[in-house]
Amino acid sequence: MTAPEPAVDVGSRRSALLELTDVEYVIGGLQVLHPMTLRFRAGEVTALSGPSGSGKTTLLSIAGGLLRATSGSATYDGTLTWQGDGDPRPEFAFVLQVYGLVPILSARENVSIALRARGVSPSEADERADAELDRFHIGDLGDRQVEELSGGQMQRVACARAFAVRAAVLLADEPTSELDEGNREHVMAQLHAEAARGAVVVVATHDPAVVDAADRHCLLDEGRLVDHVEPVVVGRHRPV
Amino acid sequence: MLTIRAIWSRRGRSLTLFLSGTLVVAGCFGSVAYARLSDISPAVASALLLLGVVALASQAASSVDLRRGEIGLAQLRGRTGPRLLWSAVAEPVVILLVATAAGIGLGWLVTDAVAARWLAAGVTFSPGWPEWAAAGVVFAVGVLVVVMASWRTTYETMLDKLVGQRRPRRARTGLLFLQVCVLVGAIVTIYQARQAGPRHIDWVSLLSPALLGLACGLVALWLMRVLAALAAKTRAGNRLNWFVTTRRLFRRADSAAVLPVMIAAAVLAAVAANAWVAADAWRQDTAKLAVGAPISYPVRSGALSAYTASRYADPSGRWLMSAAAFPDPTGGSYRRVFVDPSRWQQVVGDFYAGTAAGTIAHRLAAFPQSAALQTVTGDSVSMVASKDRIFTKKHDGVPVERYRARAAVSIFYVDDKGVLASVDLPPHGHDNQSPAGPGLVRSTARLTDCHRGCVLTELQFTGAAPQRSPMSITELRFAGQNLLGSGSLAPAIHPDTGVHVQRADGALRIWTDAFFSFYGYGSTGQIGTWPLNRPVAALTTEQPKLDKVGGKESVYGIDGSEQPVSVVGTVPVLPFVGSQGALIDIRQALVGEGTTASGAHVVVLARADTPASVRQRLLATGVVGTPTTYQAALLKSRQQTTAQGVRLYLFIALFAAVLALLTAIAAAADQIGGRRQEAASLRSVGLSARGISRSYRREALALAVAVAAASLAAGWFACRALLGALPLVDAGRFGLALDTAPRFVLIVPLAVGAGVVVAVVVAIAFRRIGRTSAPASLRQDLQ
Ligand SMILES: Nc1ncnc2c1ncn2[C@@H]1O[C@H](COP(=O)(O)OP(=O)(O)O)[C@@H](O)[C@H]1O
Ligand SMILES: [Mg+2]
Repeated sequence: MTAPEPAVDVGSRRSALLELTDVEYVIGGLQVLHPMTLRFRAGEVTALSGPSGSGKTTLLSIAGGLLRATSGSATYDGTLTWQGDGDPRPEFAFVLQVYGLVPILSARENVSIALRARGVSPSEADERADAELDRFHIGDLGDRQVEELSGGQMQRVACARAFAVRAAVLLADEPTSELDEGNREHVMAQLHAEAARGAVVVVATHDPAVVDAADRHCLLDEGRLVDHVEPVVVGRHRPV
Repeated sequence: MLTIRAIWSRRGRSLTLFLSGTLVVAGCFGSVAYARLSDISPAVASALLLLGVVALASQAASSVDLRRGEIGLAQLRGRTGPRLLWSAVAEPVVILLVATAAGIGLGWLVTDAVAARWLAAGVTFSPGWPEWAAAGVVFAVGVLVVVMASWRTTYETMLDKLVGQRRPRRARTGLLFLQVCVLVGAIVTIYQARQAGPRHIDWVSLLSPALLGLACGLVALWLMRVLAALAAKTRAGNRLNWFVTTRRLFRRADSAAVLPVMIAAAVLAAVAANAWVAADAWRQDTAKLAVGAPISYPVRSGALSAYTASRYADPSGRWLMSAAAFPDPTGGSYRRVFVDPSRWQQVVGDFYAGTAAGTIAHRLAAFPQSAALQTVTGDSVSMVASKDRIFTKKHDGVPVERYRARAAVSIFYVDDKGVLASVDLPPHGHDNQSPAGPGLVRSTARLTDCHRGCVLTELQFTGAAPQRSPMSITELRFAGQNLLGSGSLAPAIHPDTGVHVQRADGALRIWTDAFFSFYGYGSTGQIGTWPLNRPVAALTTEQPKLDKVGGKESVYGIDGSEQPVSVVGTVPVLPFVGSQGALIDIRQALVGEGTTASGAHVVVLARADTPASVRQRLLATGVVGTPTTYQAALLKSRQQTTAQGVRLYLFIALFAAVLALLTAIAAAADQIGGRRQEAASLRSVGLSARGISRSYRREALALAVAVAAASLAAGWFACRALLGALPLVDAGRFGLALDTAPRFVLIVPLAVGAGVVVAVVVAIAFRRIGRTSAPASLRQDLQ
């Protein structure tokens, strides 16, 4: 076993912290994540990069409370993100790598159901869903069943769904993998907008452009945190 | 080898396809075999074949669907044409082949067992070409269905196949066409079946329940989608609880796809169960009407001996009753049956309770008692009559007997053996005569065969007596009973015979026209009868109206002569008689009429619980033969071809029900993967596991209600429309009518059962999905 790595404090601007403390993940004898300690602060976009299979998705899942760390803990605002059943806390939102859209629902319904789950009234949920789809330039696809959409369109529906709920923590797993350059930049801008709103934003990516656009950067390799980059300018925002 | 490994890797899917194939083959093989053995049209298997094709089609299609990626890869590797198609169909075809073999084995076993149990003894099963053909047809149709389903997959865009992404299926024109065919087919077959009627058996009529069920299932499916689409627009349907359910129901027919097969199976079961119950009730009623009682002893020696034997063996009237049935002498359908009304209620009242003939007991009890037959028993007969007068003439002063006014009386009666007998008084040889007062003499003769009861038919006079000095009979004791006192004897006047009779002061005076008889000669003529022309009470069927003879309604009596009747009432059907005939009081009809016309079916009926001593006494009379029982008649009726046909339909309905269950399970199993993803997705956006489970339970409930309601409506309609059109019984033109009214006691539980099955399958299959599908499972490598 490797010794716990020193804690890395990623950002220090806002009070609400997403903290991973000595988090380790082992599954089926495979050490997916070696113990590591990380802190993500609100108001910043953190890029989590690394080659495929390095553990980005696993790290995001533990941070978001979808997975329980084998040892160590993930907390947000002082309480554990893992709730015991793999369900995320309501202030968390995800852009999953596989989108996780509900095939039998339309694009609008996929977005609005996330709002409805948080108690938003049906009509307001539909309105906000349409606005979010517009935000990602797919407002005209609201009535289409997601099965009928292309990969990039689905990815943007997944983004719209995650952004719609105005979560305190937004965890995006390769949200731009299927997007063209213009859309990628647009998504990054929106991520920054979310951070500016005060959210903790973490983006897993292997796209250098996305890493460049982030405020901070953590590099994973084979489950180890090999590097992290502090922002040059604290609180820098990329132009929208 | 590769195929076998592939089959194993998808063993869940393979197993349901295999089981369904086995079931359809076994069912078709078995029902064709059974049909052949019991002389039914093998077309009866067509219903199962139809449902089998629908079930296999959906399962084969989803089996091919699971291998879209594989097919795409094969295409990518450059496979085209037949080789590509083979790579698509190899797996289901191999499964179907194995299933066919297994189905033949299962069908063989089942038929063997069934033949031993249900068919007449000595019928053994060895498969003939129709069975092999049936198995072959199922296999061929299955392969055709698989090829057609795969054909579609091989022509989808390759990219979709490789990505494994499901594109929503638009209703394809081919499928739509088939659905329209089912609807039109259902209407046409029902019309055709109703036109043809039960006497004309063809595959169209036999197929119609299954086709109707499928059509109703399709309609239910469409209706449900429309309702779900409408509900999705309402507030309630938009509540989070129903949000996913309503949208699933109208957008994707995956869980609802089982509706047509399930409803068709329920309809088939409803029709089969109703047919069985209706036909068996008919068989029971018919056997009751035919046998007349739990036990029926045949009597050869005529109605009277049956009547007397029953009363002799059972004086109390609790167990035995005589009856005599006569076919219509004109060859028509009018039957006359003579029964003993005083014993009806006791002996057969409860036997007929609940049948169409059950209401007649009180009507029979209301038959007048007055004119009842009185039988006589005893061993001697005696007569007190005036002495012979001797007329003399003096010849040379010496009185010479010139002639003597000699008279004799013959009493005709029917004896214990039903034989018309007579006894002469005074007996030949003038023995047994003794003085009985001034000018009177008593003569006595022995009687034989009058132990249980004889019936007197006629008094005859032979001899000569001048009017100025008639013969006078003051007493006539037949077996201890004075016939002259009883009043029932009617003096007969037949001027043509030259014999005159007059009743005076309790005596009969008899004289003859001619008084020239020499000794030993004279006139012969009837002097008294026990009149039979009195109208006897009868119950008749409503149709037809009785003939009138001389202004009186009449039938042929027991001895075949005209018998006036007074109709006490009319009813739709009568025991023994069916829907055309009359039930007549045997007590009245036997008066003065001891002989029985030929062609009669005379019986002594007995209760099932008749004590052995009573039976012994009855058998000891020597007039009854070996009894037949209602149970035996029912058993025989249940062996009829039509009964076997209905039984076979039940058997087919059972197979269809299991097939529908398998289809439901397969469909649910197919959805589990997709639903896991769906549940994980929903949980990742904040829906609770419990809420998701609840929405699946709601979906199960909605499906159950749809299935139950549609099955109920369709089952009722199918029974209404088709029971009268199916060959369920061999009802003659004048037999009992089959009660074809749908029985809700059967239809409702079957419909509810179908709904419950769907609900339970769906609920069990998806019970834990909400809980076990954590959002973390949404990973590429776990899908
Ligand atoms: N549930 C699991 N079962 C088995 N292996 C897993 C599981 N989750 C993750 N892994 C393995 O852990 C490694 C990291 O996976 P992941 O976090 O998805 O990497 P990344 O997102 O960086 O591509 C991979 O090798 C993957 O196969
Ligand atoms: Mg990943």
